Amino acid sequence: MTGLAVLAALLLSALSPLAAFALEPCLPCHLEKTPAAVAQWRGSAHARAQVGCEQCHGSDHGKIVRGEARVDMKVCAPCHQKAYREHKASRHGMGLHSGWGCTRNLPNPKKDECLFCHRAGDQAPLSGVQCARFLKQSAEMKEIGCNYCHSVEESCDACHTKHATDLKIVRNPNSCAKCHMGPDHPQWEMWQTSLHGTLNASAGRALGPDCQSCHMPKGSHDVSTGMTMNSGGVPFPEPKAKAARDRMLQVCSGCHAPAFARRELERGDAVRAQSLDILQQAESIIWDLNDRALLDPMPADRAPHPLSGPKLVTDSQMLYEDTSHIERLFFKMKKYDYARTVKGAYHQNPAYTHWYGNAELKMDLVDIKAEAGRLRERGSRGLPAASAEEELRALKNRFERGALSPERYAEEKARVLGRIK
Amino acid sequence: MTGPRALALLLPLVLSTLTGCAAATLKSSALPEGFAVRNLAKVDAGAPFSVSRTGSFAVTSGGTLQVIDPSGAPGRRFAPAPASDLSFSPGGDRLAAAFPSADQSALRLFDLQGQTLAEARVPGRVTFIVWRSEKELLATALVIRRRSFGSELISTLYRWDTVAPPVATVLNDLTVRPAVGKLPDPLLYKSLRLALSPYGDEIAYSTLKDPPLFTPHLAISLRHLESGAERLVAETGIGSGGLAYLPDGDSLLVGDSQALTRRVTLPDGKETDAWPSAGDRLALSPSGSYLLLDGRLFQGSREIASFPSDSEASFLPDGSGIAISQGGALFLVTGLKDPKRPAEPGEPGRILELRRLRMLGLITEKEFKAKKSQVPGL
Repeated sequence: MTGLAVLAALLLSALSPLAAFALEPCLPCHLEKTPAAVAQWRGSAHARAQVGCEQCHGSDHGKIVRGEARVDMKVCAPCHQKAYREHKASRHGMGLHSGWGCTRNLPNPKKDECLFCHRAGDQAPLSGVQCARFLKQSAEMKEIGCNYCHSVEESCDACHTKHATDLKIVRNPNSCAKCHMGPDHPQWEMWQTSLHGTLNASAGRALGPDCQSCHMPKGSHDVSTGMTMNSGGVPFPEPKAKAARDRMLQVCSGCHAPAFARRELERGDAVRAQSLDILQQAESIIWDLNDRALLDPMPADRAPHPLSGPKLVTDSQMLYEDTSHIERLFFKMKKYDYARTVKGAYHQNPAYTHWYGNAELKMDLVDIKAEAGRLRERGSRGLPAASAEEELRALKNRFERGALSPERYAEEKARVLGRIK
Repeated sequence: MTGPRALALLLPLVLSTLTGCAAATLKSSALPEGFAVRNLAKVDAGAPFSVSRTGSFAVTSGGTLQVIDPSGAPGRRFAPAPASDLSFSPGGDRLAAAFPSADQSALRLFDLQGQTLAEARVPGRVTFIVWRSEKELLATALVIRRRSFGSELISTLYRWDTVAPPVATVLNDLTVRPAVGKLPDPLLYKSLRLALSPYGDEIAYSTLKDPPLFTPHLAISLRHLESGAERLVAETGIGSGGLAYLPDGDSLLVGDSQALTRRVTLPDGKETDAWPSAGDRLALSPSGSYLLLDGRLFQGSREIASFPSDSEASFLPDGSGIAISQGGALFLVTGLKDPKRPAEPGEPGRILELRRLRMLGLITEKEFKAKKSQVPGL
């Protein structure tokens, strides 16, 4: 009897590839053409649940070959509805509101580039967001440098990989590190070298939380849980911030006393406010130089900003190319050093908060003040004092950007007009 | 056909040919006391003409550009081609003319003997010429490119120092809907009009606009020549848009395509006065007291005489008369009592600076007026 059972088991295992062949007409060829993909699929939960090639890829081989049958989030959503809903509501689901832009009007757009944002035959883009830095890139840079991360908006495989669905892969912080590392937001490095990261490496996940422990609690795909600022570091208004803070405190309270967790996060808030103040000092210096037409080159004298034209831009659409030197210093200050200080503080990493963050931020302000001094000196060297027109123009610029009240504007104008005889 | 019947048919024909030999007369209403009309020359009907400070007239007659003196001396033939616009230099010793050909225009400068002093070619058809100073000439030109989906109209301002090639500034580059593009060329050329402020610092010009879901119309804009600052001051219908600055430089006459010529303040475009005539053909005396609108002569707001509505007119630089081109003849109407033109401010540089600041939006109208009132001579 036992022998019969063993024989039956052997027979079944020998026939299982044939059963798969019967299920999956793609396999005979793809075992030859893409054996790794087939092997990964066979080991996946999809294979065990009998979710075959056609269910995700469709049956139009021509479309697949032409790259027109992308397996994006819409394909996964019917089966993974909860994850899809959570993801779409999160910052990942908004593509971080950046990283995209219509290239149709750029010179020499690459063929098929439209497929970054549009499904074939669909004029409506996946995202209405335009990103100035994206629009400045070559087609190749857009693909690898921007969309490899920002495609997370519409692609589950941005984190989950394509055919292997093992959760071990996606629960590893290295999955997050593909994008959450480097000079602009080194969350992975600052976590790794924090006490949380050290405990995780030495004692395991139970004692040392990783990215997913805090930012995807209980397997939630809402990665924005508990965030009190947007991706550019701008704090949320109070009601929204309070609700988010309460959610994060719940997460922290899984390991820490709530009062301790609150103190830690509030210290991060204070560091953020102090850093924002330093940043705003620098930003105000640059706008003042722009008001006085002292930037070198001025926005009107360089390649126009892809979204704002010949105007100074220091918000989240700020560029690091085709700008003046002082703006480039500010870019580094805001996008790298401000982000490192604030995110370092919330990730409890002293070195990132201080030396990679706060110290750099303060040194940036020194550099920006010095550069502004040079520009002002150069602007006045060998020239008479600013003309009434130049002064009036600077005042108008300051008034229009809200740096002068109507009363103060009128007063200052009267002073300048008094000089005109 | 019997003899008497044939004679009856031939007689009107013979008489109609004989009228060309008779001296043409300018039809008019009863003229005010002291006015007199003189026939100066035979000219091509509808062709442009110019009056110089020295009293010479540049006209087109028989398709040829000529300069004539009111004394009756024989005209000097300058160029064997019709001009799209003519303009004597401020001193009257040179004549600028634009000669259109298939897809470009020649801007040519003559001395009073008919010698060509300078020439430049610009794309499209020159619609207006005006001297900014003895050293600089302004011209507007319109290029029309017709395509299946619509017509592209490019309006360009040329600044020519009569030495180097003209410097071009595109005022408007617009693709209009096919129906608008099919309007007759002369009507499209009329859409680009030009007037120079008495201070010479800014121009008023009209350009065609064809916004989706709206009626095509003309936009009247100001452009400060040195700073490039622009302001939209008025909108009017296609087919009109006669423009003229008042001598104060702070108001503009704008003809609409219906029945009104409006006076608007600059740069805000507020209407302050109106005359009951479309203002398609519009001329203003040097002091601004007389206004000839589509053949109707106004003194202030009072109509004092009328001529045929298709009369093209230009006031003499001293304000004593009006040259009127009508029905193939050029007439001189004299006897006008135009007051002396207001004296120029003692320090024109200060006015120019204030006007520039106003156009740049750096000072308000109130601030402009307050500072202007402090300038001597105003």
